[in-house]
Amino acid sequence: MDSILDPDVELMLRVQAGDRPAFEALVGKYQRPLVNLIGRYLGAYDDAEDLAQEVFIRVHRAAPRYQPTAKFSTWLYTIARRLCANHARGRALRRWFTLSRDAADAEDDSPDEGRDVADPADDPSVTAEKRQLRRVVAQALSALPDTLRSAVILRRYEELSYEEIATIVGCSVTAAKLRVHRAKSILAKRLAPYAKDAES
Amino acid sequence: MTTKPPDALDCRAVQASLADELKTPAGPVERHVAECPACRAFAERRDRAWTLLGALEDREPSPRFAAGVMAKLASAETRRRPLSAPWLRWTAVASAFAALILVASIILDRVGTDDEAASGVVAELDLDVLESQEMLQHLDVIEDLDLLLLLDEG
Repeated sequence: MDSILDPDVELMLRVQAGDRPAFEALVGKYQRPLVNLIGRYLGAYDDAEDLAQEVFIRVHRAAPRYQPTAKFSTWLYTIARRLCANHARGRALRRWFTLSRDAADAEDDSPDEGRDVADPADDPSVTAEKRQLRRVVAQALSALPDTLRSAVILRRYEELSYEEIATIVGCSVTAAKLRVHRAKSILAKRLAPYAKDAES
Repeated sequence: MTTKPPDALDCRAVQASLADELKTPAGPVERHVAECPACRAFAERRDRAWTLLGALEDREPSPRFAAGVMAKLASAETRRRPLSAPWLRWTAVASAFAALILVASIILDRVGTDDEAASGVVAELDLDVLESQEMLQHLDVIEDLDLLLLLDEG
């Protein structure tokens, strides 16, 4: 890949050469998309910042071996997706082993609440509705199988091409399209009651 | 309630083709949707669900996010810094090797003494041997830090 086409690749090559400000620039640019990507994937923002920071640490650690074969964001999101999948597996294992299952369920069933601070300027009822809708959407996403969830999040929120999604999730372009298609169909069923409310 | 399709196309095939991610060139599918209430409703349901996903708006990371990354990085670098000078590495290897020889000679020297006491000493010394070997393995890891990091990320 020609690094001139992607300024972030240029920055990453500078990081490889030991340029600390270049790394800080990448952190500044990608912190928001990364935290949101991870928060949506996990269904909660509680661990999202810690994991996003860990992604950047891994980026820095892998810098000496970095090869600019794709867009920088594709590489970054690939690391993030793997870390999220590992984290989700660890969480599932902890839940399986823990005796206080109820506590774990409570943690998992309350996505999106960690930093849900109401804006005082908002109408309280509207805020409550918005919060409820956010919770429903977060739960609908969390209930998707891992493969569908990552594909649909990358498509809907990051607006990535199917080629990029395929690279990140490690499948063919056709499989990436099918995953988004299946995820949309499942979400359409799960969110149907709320879609009617939103319409009326 | 089922609605009879207005043409010969199968609704399932149409609904699959409707998805933008599997879109075929415009033509019979679009004409079918325009006339088939079931397929039109299907397409609208999917579009509305897609719009509803927008309820999960972007959030700002905490203002301390970037500083946190740099602090973690500094801490990780301190923890993982390998022995940079070659003479330091060789000194460490030589020390571990000398310790191993010393422990082995003590074990050999003690073999044949009082059984009960000897077994306890041997067990204790075996631990020392193991620890020395671990030291050597650790040195290998230090030498091959990049490989370790690669595996860690794998």
